[in-house]
Amino acid sequence: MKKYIGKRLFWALVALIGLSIFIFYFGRIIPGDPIRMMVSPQTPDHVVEELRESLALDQPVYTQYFYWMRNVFQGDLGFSVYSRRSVTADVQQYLPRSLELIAYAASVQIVGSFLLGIFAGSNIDKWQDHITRLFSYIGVSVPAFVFAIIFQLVFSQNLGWFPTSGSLSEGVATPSRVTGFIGLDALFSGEFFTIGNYIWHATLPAVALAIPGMEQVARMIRSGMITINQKDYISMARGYGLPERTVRFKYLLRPSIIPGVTVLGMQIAMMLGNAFLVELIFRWPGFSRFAINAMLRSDLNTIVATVMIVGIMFAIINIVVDTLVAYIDPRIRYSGS
Amino acid sequence: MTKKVLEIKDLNVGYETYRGVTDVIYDLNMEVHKKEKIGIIGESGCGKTTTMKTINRILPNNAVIKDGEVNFNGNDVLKMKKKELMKLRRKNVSMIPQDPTASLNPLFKVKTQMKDILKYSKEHGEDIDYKEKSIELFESVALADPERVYESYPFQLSGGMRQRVCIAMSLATPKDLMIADEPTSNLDVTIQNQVLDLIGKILEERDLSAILVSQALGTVKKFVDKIYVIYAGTVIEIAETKQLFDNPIHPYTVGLLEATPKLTGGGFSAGIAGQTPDYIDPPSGCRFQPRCPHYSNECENEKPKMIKVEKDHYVACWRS
Repeated sequence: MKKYIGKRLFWALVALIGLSIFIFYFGRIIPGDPIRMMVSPQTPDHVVEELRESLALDQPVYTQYFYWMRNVFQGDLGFSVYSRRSVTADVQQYLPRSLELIAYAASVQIVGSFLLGIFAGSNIDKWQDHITRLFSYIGVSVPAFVFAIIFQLVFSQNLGWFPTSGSLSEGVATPSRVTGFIGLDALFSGEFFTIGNYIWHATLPAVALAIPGMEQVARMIRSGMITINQKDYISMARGYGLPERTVRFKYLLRPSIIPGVTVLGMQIAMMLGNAFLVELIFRWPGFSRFAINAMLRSDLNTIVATVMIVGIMFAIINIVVDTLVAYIDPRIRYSGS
Repeated sequence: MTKKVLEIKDLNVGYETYRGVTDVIYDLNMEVHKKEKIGIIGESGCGKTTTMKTINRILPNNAVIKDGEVNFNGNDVLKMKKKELMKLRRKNVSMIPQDPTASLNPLFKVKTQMKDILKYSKEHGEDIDYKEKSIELFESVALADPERVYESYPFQLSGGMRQRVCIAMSLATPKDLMIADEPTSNLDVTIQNQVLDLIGKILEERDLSAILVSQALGTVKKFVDKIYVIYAGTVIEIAETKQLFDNPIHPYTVGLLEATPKLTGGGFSAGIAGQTPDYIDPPSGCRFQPRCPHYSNECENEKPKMIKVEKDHYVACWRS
């Protein structure tokens, strides 16, 4: 098992280095001069060139890459020509908010997809199954931002159950910064009202973000249960006189969820990218919104940092999912090492 | 006449498919008396497994039991409530599966599966030592290294060992009827005989009633008192083992026996031309009629009745 995880860690590292080279190079060959974009059109040429030199953008790409790499290991992601401060500071400000939103959305997605999938899979071709199927088709075919708009209209504008936007109500102070994660910081300082207020604000965007993936995974769990239910070992388990609940929730469920777990991981990893429109609609001060704006302005260091963060997120979730699947399925555990 | 353990009366079972509901088991009748060993032969796809799965009701979801009775010790299994059915599965009927690899859950250790079977059989009391009991069962089926088997996942065992584990599981509680559904068809030829001998030994020692389903006629011959020949979901010939082999009457039985390769040579037999019917729209009258070399008009018009041709020998054919 250790070897299995070690191997995956190694390949994740290789992939990340490859990704950094790729994105670094392509960021620099696309048209558009980042220096010209950051200064006014009247700026004299020699100032532009000085600026270019000071940011090392006059050097060959591989030299720039090594400079960048050296700085990354010192915790410096470079200077953002968009926000005009260090990318590290931007990331520290925006990323925790998005990660919190994603953690919330992921929890909703995990719980929701399992409940729905098992509910449908235990009642194949009955009304419960048909209802979940209908919801699934809607969930899979409608993108998250549409749910975001509908939720905002229905649950905050019309019903007034949730706030329309933002992450904390007016008058609720941001807790003193320890980790940058508002939820955690509030927990450390014991401000439970703030936590509640924060969760209340995050609910609509998190649910909107969770729905499409949740429905897809629920379908996979359902079809997994149907397929496994036809296996000989399930009818034999019934034949031995095991109670239906043991057959279903132990011997049937475990093999049924394996494909669902893999897809669930990918869905959660993709949320960072998918969150952009949802964050925009709910004016959630998150990373996706910041990153997309930076990209539209050819902010090289932010682009590289963003892509690397998404890459790292995928790598981590992949390893977690692989480990989970290996835990569920001993055949993988024993052949992988 | 000894007591009837199992009596299947006019059973009709089909499967829901996209093309409609099939008609697989067609007015099937069968009896198993106490301590009697029955063999069932017939080609694949003729409903042997479906019939066996009906006995303890472990048919797949899309199966439809249309009509008939399956009486076990006088109680109709098809009308049983959940509780009685559980009792039947735990105490009365045991099954040795066709494919031991597919019949053991790949994600759980043998010990987990064994433990649940012992636990829910409710035969051994609360304070039973699962490991001790399992190893005792493994030893009774001559499993080498029972301690290792107990701690293993099914995929860490060989095919023969898996089948022995399945047999041990089926013996976890004392049963009245043992159903062995082609227990050796998925095993290595070298292992087949060992497993058959084991099953034979168990049948002898425990005085069980048994149904042995097989396509390999030689294996059936050794163990059983009486043979049912099934074609397309219906019984076409019943006879004591020796009578059937000496004097087969139904054209299908004759073809089936001739199709068995013989050590004495003579090349391959021609087999029986044609295939088992399409169960959506099965042939009228005698279901074997489209493939029968002795076909005549009356075969198509009406299903032949079971006729006694000699003592303990019955045939459903218009020629007899």
